[in-house]
Amino acid sequence: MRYYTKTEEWVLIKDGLAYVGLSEYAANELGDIVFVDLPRVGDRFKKEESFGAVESVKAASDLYMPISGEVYEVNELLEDNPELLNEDPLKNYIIVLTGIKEEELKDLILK
Amino acid sequence: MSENIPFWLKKTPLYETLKEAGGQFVEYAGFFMPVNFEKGIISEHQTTRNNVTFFDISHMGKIFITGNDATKFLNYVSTNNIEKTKDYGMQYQVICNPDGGVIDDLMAYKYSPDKILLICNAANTDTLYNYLLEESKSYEVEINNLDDSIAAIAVQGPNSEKALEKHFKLEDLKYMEFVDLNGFIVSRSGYTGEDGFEIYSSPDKIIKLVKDLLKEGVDPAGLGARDTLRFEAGLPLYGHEMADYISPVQAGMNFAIDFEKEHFVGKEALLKQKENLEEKVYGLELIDRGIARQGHEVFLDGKHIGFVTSGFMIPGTRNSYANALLQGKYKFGQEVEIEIRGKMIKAKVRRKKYL
Repeated sequence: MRYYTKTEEWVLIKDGLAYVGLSEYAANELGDIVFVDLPRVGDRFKKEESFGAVESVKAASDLYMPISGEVYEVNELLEDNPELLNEDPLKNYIIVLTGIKEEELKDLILK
Repeated sequence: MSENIPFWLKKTPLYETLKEAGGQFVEYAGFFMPVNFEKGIISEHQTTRNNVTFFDISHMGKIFITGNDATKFLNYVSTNNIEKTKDYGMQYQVICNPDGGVIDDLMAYKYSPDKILLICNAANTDTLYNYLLEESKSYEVEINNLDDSIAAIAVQGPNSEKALEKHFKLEDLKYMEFVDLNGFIVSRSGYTGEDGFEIYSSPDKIIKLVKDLLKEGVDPAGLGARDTLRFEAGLPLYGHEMADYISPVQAGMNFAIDFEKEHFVGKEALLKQKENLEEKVYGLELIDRGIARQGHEVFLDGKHIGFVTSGFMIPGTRNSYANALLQGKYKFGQEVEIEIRGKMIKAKVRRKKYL
């Protein structure tokens, strides 16, 4: 089950890790995604803090943390293939977080 | 998709046709305009470069200057010299204020020395029209804002002449010239860096032409691709590379300034800048990954030297470029940094044509 933020990120908890991606709605609205500004592994961010951005040809759109955590993995495929976020935004996560607190999910939208 | 068009936005005569053709509409310069169609900006950009597309340009301002002093008046308010253009020729013009700041840049279509049509930026049409009315009081001219009575499209790309051959015979039309053809004004010109035509007529004639072009397989393109194409071709956009705070000299548009003219609005200020240029628009090539956008700050050795006016990753490539207004003089190859979301991204100075 995925939780969604108001800023159109999704988060999925699996084996104690949080997979974070972009909603289908946001991917469609942005159009052709041409660049993903990824954080570094080990970076820590608080809930609702900006951790990166996705950019279409026309504009940049900040990405916000659905919950606090430490970046455990970034999806490096997106560096060379940012269009994966248009093709399948639910399969292609952007980052994986560790050190999360699941109670922070409770104000998110469960879909 | 919201169908609620804000009441203050104007629609062009092509709205319904382009909506049906899959246009995604956004607010632009007081109009509700397609930013792209179903295939997207990347496809529209590439199709314009290697085949042909058409754009709705009905939002552009259309102002007629007529009368015995039309040439004299235009030469007074504009930096360029319309006398150097023959009848049925076109000339790019910049209208400056006395400080050299830009009120608008536009294309002049010269029918004759006493009849000149100005095609100007949609966002500036009212300002320019009022300015021309005010400045023309002591001249024997009439200024007419044609506004909504004319629709227009730009057909752009290496195959544009071919795409139009069923409708117009255009092989003899030269670049920057125009003709009157069965109720259409057709010029060989555009804003993409490709061969192409701009076509003006009554709304019903243009709607019919657009429907035919769609049937004949010509893809529509939107404002998004129009912006990336003009950027890649090194063409300035008002509000970005030229503005009330960026003069044509700073924008590198000296070819459009005739300093030989005895007088024109802004001449003294522009001449001063030309002799001692302190700020100029440069091209930048991003070395690190990223996309620079208007307003991003530029640094050299930690010192702030300017800001980005436009920036794109060229559609279909990973090449990321930006134009930036920089203080000081720089050689091509000079490394600078652009601050993007708190990170310093390396870039180097280059010419601002990316084709």
